[in-house]
Amino acid sequence: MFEWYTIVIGLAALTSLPLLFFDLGSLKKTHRIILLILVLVAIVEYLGFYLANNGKPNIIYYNAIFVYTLPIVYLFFFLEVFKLRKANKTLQVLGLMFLLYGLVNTFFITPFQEFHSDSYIIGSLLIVGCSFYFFYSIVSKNLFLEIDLLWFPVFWVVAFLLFFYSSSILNFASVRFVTATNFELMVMMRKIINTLASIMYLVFAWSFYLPLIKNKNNIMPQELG
Amino acid sequence: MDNSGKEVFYIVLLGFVLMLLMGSFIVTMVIVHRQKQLQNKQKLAAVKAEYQNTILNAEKEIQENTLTYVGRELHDNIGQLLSLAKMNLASSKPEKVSAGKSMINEIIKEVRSLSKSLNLDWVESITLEAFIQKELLKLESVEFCHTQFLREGEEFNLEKDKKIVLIRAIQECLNNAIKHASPKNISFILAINQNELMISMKDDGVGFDTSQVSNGSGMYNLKNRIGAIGGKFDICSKSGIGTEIKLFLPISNA
Repeated sequence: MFEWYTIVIGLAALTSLPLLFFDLGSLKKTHRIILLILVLVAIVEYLGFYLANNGKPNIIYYNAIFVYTLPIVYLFFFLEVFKLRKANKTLQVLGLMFLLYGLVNTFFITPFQEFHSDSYIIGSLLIVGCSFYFFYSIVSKNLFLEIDLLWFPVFWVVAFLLFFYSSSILNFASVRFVTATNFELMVMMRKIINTLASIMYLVFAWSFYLPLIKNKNNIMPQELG
Repeated sequence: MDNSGKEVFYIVLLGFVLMLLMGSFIVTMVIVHRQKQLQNKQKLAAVKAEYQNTILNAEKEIQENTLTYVGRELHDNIGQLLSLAKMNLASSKPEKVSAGKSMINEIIKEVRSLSKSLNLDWVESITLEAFIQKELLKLESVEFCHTQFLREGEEFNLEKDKKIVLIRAIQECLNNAIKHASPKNISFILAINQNELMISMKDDGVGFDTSQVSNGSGMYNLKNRIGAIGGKFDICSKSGIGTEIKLFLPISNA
């Protein structure tokens, strides 16, 4: 029997799939990145669930996908959103530095069989930083000035990224404090994070339907073209 | 709950507080973005209104200019021709009557051409090059000064509004040269490249001190008008040497 969390993620990935057959215009690439994220998350969660049920370790998959791959894919998503040369260079450098730290961490600090909470926190901070920069660009650099944000999928994706990662950083940071005696608290934290993540992934999938609901000519930004 | 349990509880609580803070932050950003959009809309409306105002004023001034020209033509040219025709037609000599009739035909042609210039439809059909050459021909025909015209690049078809502003600017520059500069030579260059259209008017008149140009002067208005259609206006003048005026208009904007 699957957990509700894995079912919701599978549902998010499945409901995002039909959008491949719609003309999303300039949002096509960003949708594909988000779909890739949803598919990756769904696969790892199902795999993790299967391995855990069979008493096998699954941390390496979480490390590989959640800790290292997802932040890089999110950076790629932000590269696509900003398309400003300066910001792009910074994002590329930050991504490379993050991967470099991951290698150092794996080979010299924390074995890959243990959860890389330090790298997770750094990756989350990168995502939160990019999200803040997105909002800063909206307010100070007049990015997407002609678009109604509430009908713009990228806005919802970034808003929920900020929402999820800013609150989950602390929860993941606390993993090391949790001892066997606090197992109940750990379960509660996991439930909270899973609920937030489910909402975020559903928003990821469904927000890209917004251009189809509203007249897409009004909300397709030139900057993403 | 032991100490580590408390710590975890506080961390979870802090996570919630952070989540709320981020939520408020996002809502604030949306509100600020909405306000910016509103301000931008108002700004765009103001720019549009200024643009329309510029075009209307330019049209009005061109029409005033045309009326002055028509009045002068009626008085100096058609009036004279009519008097001559009247005298010829009053004569008993058949050759005089015939000359009078051909004069009447000429007058009809002149009146037709004048009536065409009374509305602004001619602006659409005329090219900038043809307009400049026509204006220079007028100066040559009254022997006001020598003129020169040079075109570089292929003539670009401007939209009517922008052409009106440029034509009015050219008229204003020429009027200023006629009224104040007393030049012996006036030369025009119309240069068009891939990105920009440039009109340069140079005279060898008395020149003036450009720092004395006030905010209410014709030159200041010209600068604003050219700015309103997305162009640039440059003036360079030296007392005793002459004046050079350059008008730039981006082609993508044209």
